[in-house]
This record gives sequence, structure tokens and C-alpha cells, in this order.
Amino acid sequence: MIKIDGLKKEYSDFKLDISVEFENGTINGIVGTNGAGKSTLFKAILGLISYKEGVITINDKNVRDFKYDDKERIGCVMTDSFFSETFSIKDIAAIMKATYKSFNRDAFIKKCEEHKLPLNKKIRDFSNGMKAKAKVLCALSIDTDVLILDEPTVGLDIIARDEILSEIRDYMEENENRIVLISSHISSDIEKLCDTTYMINDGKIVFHDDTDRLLGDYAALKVDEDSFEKLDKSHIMAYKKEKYGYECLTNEKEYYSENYPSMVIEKMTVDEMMMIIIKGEKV
Amino acid sequence: MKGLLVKDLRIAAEQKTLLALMLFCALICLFTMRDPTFVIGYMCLICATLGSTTCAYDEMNKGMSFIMTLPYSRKVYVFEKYLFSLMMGLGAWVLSTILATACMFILKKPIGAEYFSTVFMFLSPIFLIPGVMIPIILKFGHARSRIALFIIVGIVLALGGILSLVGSVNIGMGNYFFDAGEVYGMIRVIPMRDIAAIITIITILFFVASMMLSLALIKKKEY
Repeated sequence: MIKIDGLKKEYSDFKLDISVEFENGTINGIVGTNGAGKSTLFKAILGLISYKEGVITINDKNVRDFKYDDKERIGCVMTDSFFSETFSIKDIAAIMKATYKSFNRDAFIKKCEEHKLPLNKKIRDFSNGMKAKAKVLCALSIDTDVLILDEPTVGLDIIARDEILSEIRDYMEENENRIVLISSHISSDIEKLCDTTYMINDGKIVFHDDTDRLLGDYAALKVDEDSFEKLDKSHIMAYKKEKYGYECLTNEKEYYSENYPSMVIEKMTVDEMMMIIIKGEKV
Repeated sequence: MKGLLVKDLRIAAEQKTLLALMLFCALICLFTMRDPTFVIGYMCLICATLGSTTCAYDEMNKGMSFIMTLPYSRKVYVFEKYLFSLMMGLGAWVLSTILATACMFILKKPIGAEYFSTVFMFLSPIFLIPGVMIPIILKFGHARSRIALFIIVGIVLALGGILSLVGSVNIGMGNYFFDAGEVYGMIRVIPMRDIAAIITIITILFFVASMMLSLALIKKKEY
């Protein structure tokens, strides 16, 4: 389990303040706008930034006390950072093999070939999509307990994205105790892959729920001003003023469809939910 | 540390054309210059910079963030940089010394204590160059490190200038300031072998101090 207890990190114009737990055997999606704190959270877990307050533990061990054997059990993909682009896939395979005891070179090379990544070409000559694939395949070739993926599908077309999500799903099935944390701007990635979705805004987790519940029980209620005044708001999480009246986010779609049969109730994507929560008013 | 060494060796291999050119120039210099020991200094200077070159490669495309997620501690990262620099520098020193000594034999030049003292003197840049460059790159980054280096060299030269001025003017304060002529006279009587040993010990101490400084710098850094 990853336990983050009272993590506080301050910059001149931004403050991260997070307490959260990620259970073993779960894929957790982190969504939020640019600068919301997703990467800062990941960097704190990975030990890339310092923090004065809070404790981060992975399987009951403080990450600050991590040694080589502990760090070897964490894999990651960073949005804009990787090995020097002067390296080829074969160079990276050699470095990873010398770094991680569990790195499976043959599987990595095979996967790269399957995804049509040239083995001897320098990474700087790869397309953005190929670079993204190389990073993910590299991370998936290590046996880890925790896999942190910061925007792993950025730059990928829809087919490549689907292939990579499928690889991540297969990786999770190999060892069901693993924890995957994934951030993405593409809500469909989160909807397809994650067990739980966490939404970060202004350095805080503003809400989280099972992704199945988000897609099944959450909905947008579209009501005019009169109906909004009379509406039972006990299951309304947030609302936003629109030209026609109000758009309300509920986590009890059934309740409103049973009690307000004439009401317009629409399914929502995670992005749309995020818009209401961030830009709307809380009840 | 093995993974980091493999990474840096692969970066060094990227420079193979330049290194081959260096070797070619060194071979020409061996037989065209009067002093074959020049080649030792030339090769050591170039190879001792390879460690700081790998720092620049690590930094490219924000690569340090990813490298710091590898299972090595920051301490291991710093030690590896110094170790790699030493490996490259000493490798060049051994190779160039063999070449220079062979050339001395061929040219039938005397190989005595003075020759070996000169050869050992060239160990200094192997420790000095990474000792100066690595902490500067870690502190300022590759792009700003050159400006920082020029400023540091400027400060050292200015201090040297002030010191020599004080020594040469010796404005009636002989008891308080040193006399440059007197100091030069004292140094001249020290055998070359001892000077080489003193310089080598000072540079090794500087190297260790630089390593400690780099460690303190990298521990504070956020990626």
C-alpha cells in the first residue's frame, strides 16, 4: 500500500497538501488540470523533491529510508524525461540490464520489435509516439511493486494508446498485488484502465471514487432555474450556471431518474465531471 | 553503480570519432615534437573532461529527473561521476605514458627520474579537471557552467595577480608579506620529484573535497 499522510510541499505560487492511500492490486487514475499537482505528487513519491511535512510510505516503509533494493521495486515513466536521446533501444536495454536485477532484456527487445521500434536508431530520431512507447515498454520490463506513469500516452495516436493501455493491463495481471498510479489528460484512458479515479485541483485531492461508479452512478442533471430551486440537492456534488439554467453533478443518478422522471439526465465523461467540480459551485 | 557506469561508457563511446582523432593527433605530436611528454598532458586533459561531458548528457531533455528515479542514491550518482572521470583520465594517462615511453626509446632519449617526475605531474589534471567541473555543473547546470567556470577562473587569476603584485612591490612590509623572489628561490631548490609528489597530494585532497561538495549540492537539488 502507498500511504501519503499530510504531505505538504510549498512553492512560491503553489501548495500541495495531500493525504491519500492507494491499495495494493489497484490501478489509480489521477486527473487534474495543468499545474494541479499531479507531477509534484509523483515526484514526492519518487524522492525527486524534498518536503518538510508529511510521510510517504510504501508497504509500511518510509520512502526516505529506501535503499537500492526498495527503489528497484518502483518503476516509472516521466512525461518529459528519459535517458539521453543519443541512446538507441539497444543502449537502453544494456543500461537497464546493468541497473535492475529483474529487467527482462529479451522481453523488452521483443516488445519493442512488436511495436515497430527500431533497435539501433537513436531515440532523438524517433517520433513523439515512438518515444512514448519506448518509455512505457522500458518501465514495463521491470518487475515492480509500484508503477508510476506520468502522462504515459501523451503524443500517442488512438491505436497506439490502446496498445499501450493493453500492455499496462497485462502487466497488472502478471502480479495482482501491484499498484499502478497513472496521470493522464485523456479521460478515456482513465475510464478504460483505472479502478479508482482521483481528481486533484490546486494541490488538493478534491474527490475520488471507483471508476465504475463514476461511469455508472454519476450524471449531469440539466435543469432550468425554477426546477433548480425546487431540486432536492442532497445528492448534488456541484453545479454550474449555464444559459438554460444549471448543470448539476450527481453521484446518485438513479435517485433523480426515479424521483424526477421528466428531468434531463446525461452521462458524463471524467473530463466533464472535472469541469463542474473545478469551475462550478459546491452545494 | 554498474548501470550508471554502463550508461556513461555508452556516452563516452558516442565520442569515439573525437577520441580517435585525439589519438591520431597524439601519434603525430609524439614524433614531430621535441618533448613526447606533451602527449601525456594532451590526452589526459581531453579524457579527464569526459566525466563532466556525461553530466551534460544526463541533463539533456530534463534527463536528470528520470536518472534520479533509477534505484541508485544521489551519493552513488556523485561517486560514479568521479570514479568514471578517474577511470577515463587514468586510462588515458596509462596509454599516453606507454606511447610516450616507447617514443623516448625509439628516439633514444634519456629516461630518468626527471622524465618520470614529469609523467607523474600529469596525474594532477586527472583529479583537478573533474574536481572543478563536476560541482560547477551540478550547481549551475551545463548551460550556465561555462560562465560560472570563467568567473571562477577569473577570480583565481585575480587573486594570483594581487598576490604577485604584493610580492613584487613588497611595499616596505617584508615582515608581513612574502617576497615572491624569495619564495621562487625556495621552490627552485626542491627536487622535481618532491614537487610532483606535493602537487599530486594537493590535487587528490582537492578531489576529495570536491566530491564532498558535489554530494552536498546534489542532496539539496530538486528534480
